[in-house]
Amino acid sequence: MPTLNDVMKRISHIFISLCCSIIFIWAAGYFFLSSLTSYEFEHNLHKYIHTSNTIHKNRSEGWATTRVGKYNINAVPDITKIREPKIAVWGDSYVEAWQVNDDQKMPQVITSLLHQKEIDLFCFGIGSSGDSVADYYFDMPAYEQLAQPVVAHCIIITNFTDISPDQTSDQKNGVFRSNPLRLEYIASRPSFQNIKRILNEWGLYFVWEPIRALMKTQIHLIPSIRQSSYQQSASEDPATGADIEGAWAFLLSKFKQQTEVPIIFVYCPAIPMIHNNELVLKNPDSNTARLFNQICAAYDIGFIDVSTRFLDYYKQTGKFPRGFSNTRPGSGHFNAAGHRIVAEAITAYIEMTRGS
Amino acid sequence: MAFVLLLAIKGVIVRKIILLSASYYFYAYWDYRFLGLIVIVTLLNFYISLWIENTGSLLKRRSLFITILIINLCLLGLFKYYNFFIHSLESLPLLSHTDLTTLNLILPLGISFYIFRVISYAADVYTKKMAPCVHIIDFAIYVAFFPIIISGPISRASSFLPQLKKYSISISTFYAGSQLFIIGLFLKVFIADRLAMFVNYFYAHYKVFDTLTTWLATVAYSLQIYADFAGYSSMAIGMSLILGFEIEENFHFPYLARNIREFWRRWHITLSTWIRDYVYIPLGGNRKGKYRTYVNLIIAMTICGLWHGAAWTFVLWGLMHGIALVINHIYRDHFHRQSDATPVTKIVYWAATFLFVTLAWVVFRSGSIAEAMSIYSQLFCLKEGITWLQPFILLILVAIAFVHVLSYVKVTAISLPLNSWYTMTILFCLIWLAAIFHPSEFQPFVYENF
Repeated sequence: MPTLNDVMKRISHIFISLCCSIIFIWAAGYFFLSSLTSYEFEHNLHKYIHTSNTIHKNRSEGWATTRVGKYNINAVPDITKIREPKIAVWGDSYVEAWQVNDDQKMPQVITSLLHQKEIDLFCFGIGSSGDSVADYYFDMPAYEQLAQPVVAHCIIITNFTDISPDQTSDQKNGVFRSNPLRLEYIASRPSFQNIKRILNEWGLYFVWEPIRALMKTQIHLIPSIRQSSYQQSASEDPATGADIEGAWAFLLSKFKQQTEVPIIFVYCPAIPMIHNNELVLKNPDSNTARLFNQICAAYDIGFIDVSTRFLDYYKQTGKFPRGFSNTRPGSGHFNAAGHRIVAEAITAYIEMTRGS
Repeated sequence: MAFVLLLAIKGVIVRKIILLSASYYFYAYWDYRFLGLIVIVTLLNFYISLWIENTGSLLKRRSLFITILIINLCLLGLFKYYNFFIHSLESLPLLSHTDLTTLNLILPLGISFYIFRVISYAADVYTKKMAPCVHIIDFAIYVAFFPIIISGPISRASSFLPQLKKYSISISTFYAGSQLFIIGLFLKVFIADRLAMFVNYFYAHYKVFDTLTTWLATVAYSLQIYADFAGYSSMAIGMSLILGFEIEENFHFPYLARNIREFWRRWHITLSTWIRDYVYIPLGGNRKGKYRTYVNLIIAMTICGLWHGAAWTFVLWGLMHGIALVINHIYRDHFHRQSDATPVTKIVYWAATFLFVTLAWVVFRSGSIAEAMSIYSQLFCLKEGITWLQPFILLILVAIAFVHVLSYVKVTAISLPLNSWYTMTILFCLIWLAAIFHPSEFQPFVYENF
């Protein structure tokens, strides 16, 4: 029968072991886990944005550190303090670019390239994971006011669902709907921000991971039936050609009404890519890209297709513009080379069209 | 929950009922429709084995044993191999235009494992190696025991059933079992699942990758299947120990083996001993001359391969191991005894064994024999393509190699002695690592598919 002394020794041993393990996992998490994304309400923009003057570490895809500036602009502490004429680059997580360091993000590379060519323009990026064209539409006037003078808008799209209606809103403010075609603004509020802020301040990222996993876990207590592999999931009906052309025409006309400065859509498809045990070098959406280009031209909106540059890069180096050593090759977000390629494409376009 | 109940309740019968109920609930949670199947298998094997024991006539005993053997194998064959054989027949030239009916059947969870357990029980009763179980609840627990029903170990009735007579649980078994469970969880979630993300992507798109990446993926799969299965076994053995049962060890650093015989004494030990006792020895073992021994080895290992899955790749994998065992026998008999080997020779033996086992896993993992041959050609004919050297995979390879070296030189710390001061800290760290750094997609246990 154990004595009280034995029990106390055992409890102390457990407690000390637990404390040592917490120190270990805190250190491991601090170095190997990504920061938690925290938000704050920005009164000028009337929405929740990434908490300004913070540092975001990304470790799950790539290995990079980002300085979050004011007004949801990464790598720029305060856009209002920059006097140069500006180009706004809009996008979702591709422009948010947690995966690469600040000096490798495409807006910063564009600025650097333009300055090398003695073109006095400053480029900044506005992007949050999950943002859609509707978000860019609603935010444009506010940013033109904050970051004036804005001389052009570049909108990064990686596929045509980015500009199609009725996509998953991902708890964002702007949504693009059909029947009837419309752009709606629904104010949303990110959750658990107080907890995330505290955990971020103390580097306690490891605390959030099991909480997040538990929230995603669905437990059922009642025995169920296993689905066989013969059961197939229902396929979604794709939009017809006429529907999507109408939607794009609507979208572009709305953008033209929202701003007087030039707009350029920058199409960055996921090629080359690995698909079905093959390396795909031909963009399956090239016809759609041509169609969208025609519609852009009809509305005097610029269109850049980066496909050829991506393919040239692969042919020269054997590397992909997407993907990192700790993720799958050719998939995911742009790596440093991908950002540079897109930046070069935009810079070349600006150089070419500058006079007009 | 079951542990708390079992600890609180002192009555043996009530404890057994709780254990059986928990096992059936666990099984029904996956798919309650197959609970009936496991009950039918339990009842058939229980009563026919009793009948065998109570029958004096040798002919009748043999008939009953063959009957229950056929029933067990037919159930396994129907759910696991029917479609495989139909598709194989359809691919034959004579039957290529014949439309044979396949069945839309789900493979019942753990059927390969519990059918093998009941076959071993019936065989042991028939050969009088053990007396039959006379309590239906005890036997039902043996068949459906939830920690081991999904993917083993293939526990023998002769070692499991006596533990039910003096069934007790304690805090000390709880601690020892928890240690094994945590180690298994870490191996599965932190190591195996991360390796799986790399390996699965490689195998889905192997044609685009270069030779270096192909080698990395091949070695990674060797470690993935080891970590996955050894991790599961450790969890199962640990959970069993928590509940008061000692289950046979299933893995013992198999990649330290210096020949293929030794590998099979370290890898899936309960399966290899089952194949030895119920296939190889009844075929004659090594008692009928060397050439018959070689044939028996090949047949036994081919059946072992087929047990793993209904596909020709598994059959080929088993055949490869059978041939390797034959070669090992020939080498041992005619050329060299490994006990006389120098250190350098031991390293060569180890490297050759590891290389063979790793290359054999390619067939095991591939979706078809053609795919396996393509991967082999990528391994041995220099191929250009995409290079993908995932840093975490490389780190795991180095770490696992390091742990194996420590085990080989018998560093005690590797075994995490229960009474050492650092063991609990390490266990807590392993829990944290499994909880924090788990992949976003859960990978099913590899052997759950068997």
